[in-house]
Amino acid sequence: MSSRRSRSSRQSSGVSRISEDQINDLVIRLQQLLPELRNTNNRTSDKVSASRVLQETCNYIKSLHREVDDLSERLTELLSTSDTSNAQAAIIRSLLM
Amino acid sequence: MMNQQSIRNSSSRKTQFAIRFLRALTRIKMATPIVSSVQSRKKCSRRIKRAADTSMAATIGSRRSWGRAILLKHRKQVRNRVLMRQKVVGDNNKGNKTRKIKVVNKEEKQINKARKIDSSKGVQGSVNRANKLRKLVPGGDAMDFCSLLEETAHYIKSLNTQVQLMQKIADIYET
Repeated sequence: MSSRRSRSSRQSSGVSRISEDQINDLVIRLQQLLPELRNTNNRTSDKVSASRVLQETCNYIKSLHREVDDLSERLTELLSTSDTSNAQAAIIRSLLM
Repeated sequence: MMNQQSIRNSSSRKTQFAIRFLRALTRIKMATPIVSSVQSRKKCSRRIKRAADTSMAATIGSRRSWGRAILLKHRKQVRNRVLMRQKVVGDNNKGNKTRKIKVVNKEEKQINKARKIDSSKGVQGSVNRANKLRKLVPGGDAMDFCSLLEETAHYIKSLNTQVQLMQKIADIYET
């Protein structure tokens, strides 16, 4: 309980003691979120460098931003063409299932 | 148990995001009944994008600095828009206006200061890449390296959810 508290307070205070292990853990956690590098983990356990992970992270965020842009354009089209008022209930229902 | 809790959190977060975003979409639709020109179409899709970003940030709440950064930026934009409108109307509360601009400058200065302190730390070789990452993660400018990594992981997850839900909403609209 207290450990969780201290974790969150470390993160909010700008000054944190950075240890090598801590950074490695964070880099691995980040790596597991990247579709490009998620699977390379098993074969070559520690061959992916931190800088490669950072690079791929940048690329991935950029691609997600592009997807948001594309979807916004698509939604613009749909807002002007289709009747969206009936769809709201369907969306909420599909999320709750 | 921890895992169960996080699953429940994520599904309620999805619903919260969807409700916020759909409300914003309805508002946008009311404001722009017929999207005709290329320009107004672009403006509309920018509004939708902003609505999606702020809906996600509001759902996350103030627990994360990237969420706070998005909301702060959004509030600034709204404030600026209000100021612009006041300027157009041409009323004479000039003192009020300059005070608000000063506040904005102060915030920017603090961010720059934080960045300067941080540049002395960091892992060799990765510093350049980390700086690129700072530009992509909202509020990344003011984070130390560890928080940057932590916030990035969380930001990626949320962005992923955002994309999935926008996709789902678009698919349902289309049918």
